[in-house]
Amino acid sequence: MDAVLELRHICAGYGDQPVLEDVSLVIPRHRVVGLVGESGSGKSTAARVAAGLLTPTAGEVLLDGQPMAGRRSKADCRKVQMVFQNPEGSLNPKHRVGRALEDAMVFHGTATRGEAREKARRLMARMELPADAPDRLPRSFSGGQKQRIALARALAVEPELLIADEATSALDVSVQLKMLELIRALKSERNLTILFISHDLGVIRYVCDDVVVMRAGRVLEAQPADAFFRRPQTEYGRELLDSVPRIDF
Amino acid sequence: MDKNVILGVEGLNLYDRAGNQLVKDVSLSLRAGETLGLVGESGSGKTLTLRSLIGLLPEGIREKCAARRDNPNCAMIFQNPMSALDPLCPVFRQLCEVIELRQKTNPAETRARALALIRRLSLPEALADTDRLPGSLSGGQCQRLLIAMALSCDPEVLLCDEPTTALDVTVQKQVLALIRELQRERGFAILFVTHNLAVAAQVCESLMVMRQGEIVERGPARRLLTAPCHEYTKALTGAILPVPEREA
Repeated sequence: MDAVLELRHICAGYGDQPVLEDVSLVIPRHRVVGLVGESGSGKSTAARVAAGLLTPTAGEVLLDGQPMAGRRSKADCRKVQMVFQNPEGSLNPKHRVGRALEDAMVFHGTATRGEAREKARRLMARMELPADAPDRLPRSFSGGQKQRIALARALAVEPELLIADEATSALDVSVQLKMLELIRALKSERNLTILFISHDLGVIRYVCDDVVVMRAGRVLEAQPADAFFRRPQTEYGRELLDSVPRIDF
Repeated sequence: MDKNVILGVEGLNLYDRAGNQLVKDVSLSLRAGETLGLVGESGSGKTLTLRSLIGLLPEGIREKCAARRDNPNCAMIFQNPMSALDPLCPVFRQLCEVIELRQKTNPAETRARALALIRRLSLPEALADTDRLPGSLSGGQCQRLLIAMALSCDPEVLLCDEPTTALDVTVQKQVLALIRELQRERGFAILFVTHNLAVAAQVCESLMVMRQGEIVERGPARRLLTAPCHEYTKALTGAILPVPEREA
């Protein structure tokens, strides 16, 4: 199987506080892998290891089949891009938002300065942002729009893997739905590979092809989404599904 | 206002310092034992409305209303249980303080009542002997503790402001079940503020939907969720991403 990213027996933590214990995870090309689990289960830490933001204390990270050791090269950094829960943190409040995309493209060499402006404009239009959006400052956008700008910024450098860490959790439900629809459309248009982290099983079911369940720093189960939602393999998986509040009259 | 109403307001308007209207002509009322959900997205004014009912409005908010019925016997639980507790005071002692203050009990009785509440909310009984700081309890345990404090006042009305939003789903399920059980046992009324329709449906018999400071629709929970009338309610119910029951 062609995997964009693979974590093999990863242990990682902060200081002497271990978080991940022997985590193995495969992200196949052109699939959306959902990572679910409760707070403190290690989802975000696994994402940070995958993105090269945190060096594991043991185990191996393979990106495009190549082992990653030490600092990643600029080319490898381009391959993995992240969208975080809070879009504010990804945008410079004093820069017009188009610049966030253009600088990233020029830095990673996916466009020249001359091309970048037009490419940024087209990408932001695709995100259903207003035509004058690239020239405005972050503060003039709503939370949902800012999150779509953060998504455009991540996609601007044509990553192999997009990591969305609770990217829609801070949004209102109707805004969240719009963003998820966009992600689904972009996935098929651009053949994206996504690691999608969420604690919301409804969201996971809507966007993901595969589901990986984590708890207390370990992976408990990993299987295709349909199978998981019909027949979870672990007691904890069943408990998670049974806990979702439902409208049942 | 109807004499059976135990907490309510008519024609409530709220403005910020700049004169922007945040809540517009909202009327709501609770009768004994009634469970009412106030649902809306961020910025819709649901929390402000709730706070206005118990006189907890933030500074700078100006208030006008046609009529209101206050109730001194309200208790409230909040979204973030950690920040609602004193981080430097052990939790059992915090609970005892509330009981002593509200019920004017002597130390032995205070302790007995606190223990009974701890047991009822399935918190570790060991807390009574080896008390712990809030930081060493889980989020779910802290929320149970706050519910215990709220109940220690024998409230006629329990106000809930997104009480499970900060909790994991498995813990959320337990806390919601607990609130329902306690409501049945003790018969207090509930005003439950949440952005999550499915959560509201677990606890409330009737619902009100707010948008941009106005109530756009109200009715029995079942009717509102299965046959919404207002466009906005339809959009909200349409945005729910369902998770079907798993195979047995």
